[in-house]
Amino acid sequence: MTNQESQSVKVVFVTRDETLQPEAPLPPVMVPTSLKRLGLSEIVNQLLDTETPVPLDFLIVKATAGDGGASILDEESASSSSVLLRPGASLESFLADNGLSSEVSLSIEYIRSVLPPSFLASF
Amino acid sequence: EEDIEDLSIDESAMSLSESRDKWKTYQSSVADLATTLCEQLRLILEPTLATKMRGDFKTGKRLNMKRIIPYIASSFKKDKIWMRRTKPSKRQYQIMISVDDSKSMNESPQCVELAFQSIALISKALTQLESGQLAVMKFGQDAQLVHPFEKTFSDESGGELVSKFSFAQDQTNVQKLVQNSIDIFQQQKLGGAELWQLQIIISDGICENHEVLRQLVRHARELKIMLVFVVIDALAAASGSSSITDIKQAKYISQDDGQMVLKMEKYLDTFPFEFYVIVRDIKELPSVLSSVLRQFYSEVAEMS
Ligand SMILES: [Mg+2]
Repeated sequence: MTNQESQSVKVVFVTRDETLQPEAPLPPVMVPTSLKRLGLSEIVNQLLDTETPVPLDFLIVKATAGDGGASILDEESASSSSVLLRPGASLESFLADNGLSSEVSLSIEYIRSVLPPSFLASF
Repeated sequence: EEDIEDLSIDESAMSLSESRDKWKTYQSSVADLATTLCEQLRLILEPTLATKMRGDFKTGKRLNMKRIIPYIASSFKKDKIWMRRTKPSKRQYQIMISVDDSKSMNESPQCVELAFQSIALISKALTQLESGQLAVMKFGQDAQLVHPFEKTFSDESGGELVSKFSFAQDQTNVQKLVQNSIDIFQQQKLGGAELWQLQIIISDGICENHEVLRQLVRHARELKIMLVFVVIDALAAASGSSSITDIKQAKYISQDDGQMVLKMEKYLDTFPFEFYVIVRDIKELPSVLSSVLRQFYSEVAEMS
């Protein structure tokens, strides 16, 4: 038997940054909940097929049941309900802190990291 | 015993009268489709009318050559050496419909609706067939029988079972579902007769532990329990913009040097169920379901 796969959560990655905009909307991804900022960054960079990796930060939009999260970038609803994934925090801890199970699908906005790369590397 | 457990009040579940009304709506929306599915199932599940020469009889029409030598060797005591035309006996079958009660199903109302329509459609087609038994199971964190094989499935049962779903469970434990169902199916088999057992799983298709599941599915198949997975394509049903076929799975594969490398593959590429169909509209269900069943039973026929 191969090693037990870890738990995953369905994530839709979106952005408002024109320079990071994909050609077509990114597909939903089943992401291991153990991942932190760096892991998510690697996934998005791979999806975007970037030449040199762009360091990213993540804003998780708090999903509610019955809301597929498709319209999360509507101006009114955007920033108010999204939370920055803290350095060192995994998706698992985000879910636990917010009383969510991995049954929800998360909409995550990616932004260029505002922190210097050397500092980020320590997470 | 299940009934007692189900009396517990679940806030998110509907009232019984409300669920009866819903069930009626689902049933009438699939009435024509059920007739179509019933006809197709009849062709697949019922034995062919063609009779075969077979058997070991004391008198008959044609000699069974395999019996001649033992006949002589036994000083003509083993004298059942004749074959007759026999009609195949009617096949007994049991079908279990298992429906995903987890929270992810609630992401779009279309998904829940499609799930109930599927139960209505399949149960109606089977009651029209009139020769099998039907059970219904719900699963999420746990797997729980909501309608046992022993009970006749009626309109009343339909209303009752709708009320037992909440689509609020915090896990989708398909592994537990398959394990429990195999146990239930095995208990049913004790009768000994040739029994065809089929499980139809209705779910949004998002589940964990594909590798473990794949082994369980293989085990079920060895026990001649067929598993068909009906994937309700919730994303496509809701928005039309994306589909379960687009979903990727992020995975870490360990290299020879011990390094873990990120690999993105299509979620469905590792889907552990060999026989699955993707449904976006209830109208598609009769034809996709019967074609996958036909494929399975032709493989079973080759095996035995
Ligand atoms: Mg689920």
